[in-house]
Amino acid sequence: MADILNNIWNWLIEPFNSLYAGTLVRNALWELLIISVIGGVVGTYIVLRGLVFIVDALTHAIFPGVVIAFLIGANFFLGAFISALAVALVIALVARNRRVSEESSIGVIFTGAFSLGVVLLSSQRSYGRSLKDLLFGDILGITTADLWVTAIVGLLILAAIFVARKELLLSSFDATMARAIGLPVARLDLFLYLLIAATVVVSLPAVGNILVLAFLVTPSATARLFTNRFYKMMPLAVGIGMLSSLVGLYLGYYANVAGSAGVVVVATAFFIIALIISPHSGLFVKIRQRHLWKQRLRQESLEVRA
Amino acid sequence: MSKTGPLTAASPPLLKIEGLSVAYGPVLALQNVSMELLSGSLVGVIGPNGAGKSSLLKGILGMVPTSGKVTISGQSLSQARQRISYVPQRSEVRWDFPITVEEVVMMGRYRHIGWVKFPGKTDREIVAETLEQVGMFDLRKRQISQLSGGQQQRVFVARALAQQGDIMLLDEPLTGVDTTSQEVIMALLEKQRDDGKLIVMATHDLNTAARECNFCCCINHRLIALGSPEQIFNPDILAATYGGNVLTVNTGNSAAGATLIIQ
Repeated sequence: MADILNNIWNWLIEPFNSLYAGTLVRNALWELLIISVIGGVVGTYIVLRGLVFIVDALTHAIFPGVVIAFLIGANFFLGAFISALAVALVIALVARNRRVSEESSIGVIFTGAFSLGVVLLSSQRSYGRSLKDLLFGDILGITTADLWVTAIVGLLILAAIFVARKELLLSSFDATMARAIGLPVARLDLFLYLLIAATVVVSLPAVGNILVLAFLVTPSATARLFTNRFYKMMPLAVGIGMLSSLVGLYLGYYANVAGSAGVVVVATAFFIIALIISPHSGLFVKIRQRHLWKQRLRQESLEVRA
Repeated sequence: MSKTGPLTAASPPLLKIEGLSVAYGPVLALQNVSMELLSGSLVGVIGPNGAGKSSLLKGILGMVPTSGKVTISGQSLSQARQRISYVPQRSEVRWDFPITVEEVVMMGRYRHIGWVKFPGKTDREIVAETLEQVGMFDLRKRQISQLSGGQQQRVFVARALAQQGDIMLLDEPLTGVDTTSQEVIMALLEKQRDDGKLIVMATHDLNTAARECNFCCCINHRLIALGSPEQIFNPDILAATYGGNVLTVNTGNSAAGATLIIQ
């Protein structure tokens, strides 16, 4: 028995202690845990406000900024953040103008910007490899310096949300009332977009342009299926993100598959499980409810006949 | 054209509206409305659909592009906004939001609490008290989508009460609401009026307006008339407001000579 436990323990800690990969895997885990925290908190707003498509656009639209920073050797975060700022501003304007068909203009802008990034990058000789890293992230390439950047920016994002948590909640739930009591709703929207942009940018090196959306949306969407309370949804999303990260990393290490994609696959699996077993809206509950209804109807019709 | 209601008095009016116009782009929703409303009144804003009832309420709070001037006991809107509470139309809210009855009512306290800080003991007491008043205390832990339409509306009235303003603006508070909730809401509004508050309620239920309001304000992109229900509910004014789409039947069997209106 002790032997088995010992084996399991060794299996669990091996990725983090291994001679060649230990530091890399440890950094990867920390990075993913931090991303899970900010992703879960910011993602809760994204999911509840129905901003998923807009954030998808945002992640793609900052791609050319990332590529330009990479090509001219400028600081990655700077390039990404400048383009994220520009894009967040444009999106905040577009999202407020109800007369423009929001979806089509966002669709146009983000595929266009994304292609621009690919065009710029394709002039490079090492095009294939860099494209892969930029799109899917390089989770095992995270340095201690990267970790610090993510941790500090993450703390700032959480502090900013804490300061405005009541106002963000009100303007997300009932923008009319928020305006009525004189809250600066437009500025709050912009503030939220900037926090989302910052979250995307710090997550990019680890998880890449394509996958970052899953880190923001999937855990929160899963959490929504398990709770009807806003302030429970956030920690739940964070927990689900962390668990997915851990399981995904093991998957990456032992099955020798891409790390960040592995995390996304695990998170998606959790979401599908949640769809089935959710206590409020899951498949099981629905089937049971229908069964109970049928039973009651049958009983009532029998009573009427009798 | 400027019109002053019959409510002019020596003390400064609680709510004074001067030449208020509301425009959405090129569309003028409300044109040059002026009126003075006093504390202790329940004012019904009536008019056909799309006539600018909501725009009037939103215009008072400066939530839509406006011109004109709104003063609250002589103070400007930015100075006195806290004194006005507002109940939006039910359709303007995300009902699937994972939030409880209690949390919604607490939103009425946000302006008092301020940024960063947490709700205090007083805030929680006020929330509990207003929930009692609308008869929703037992359901305070419910998620709002699990309530009936009438219960949801009562929660919103509770939130407005928790704001503790002198003026309450309500946009169609009785629409799509069950009879019990209508009665609870109307009884509360009347109590508020008797406590010296000013209640302004947009409604398309003319019977309720005629029965419950001290003053009625007829709107059709401009102010058609403002006065007591007895003054307002006559065929000429209603025809001017609704463009002849209202049939008035004088029942004659009520002591007050009430008019029954069939839309």
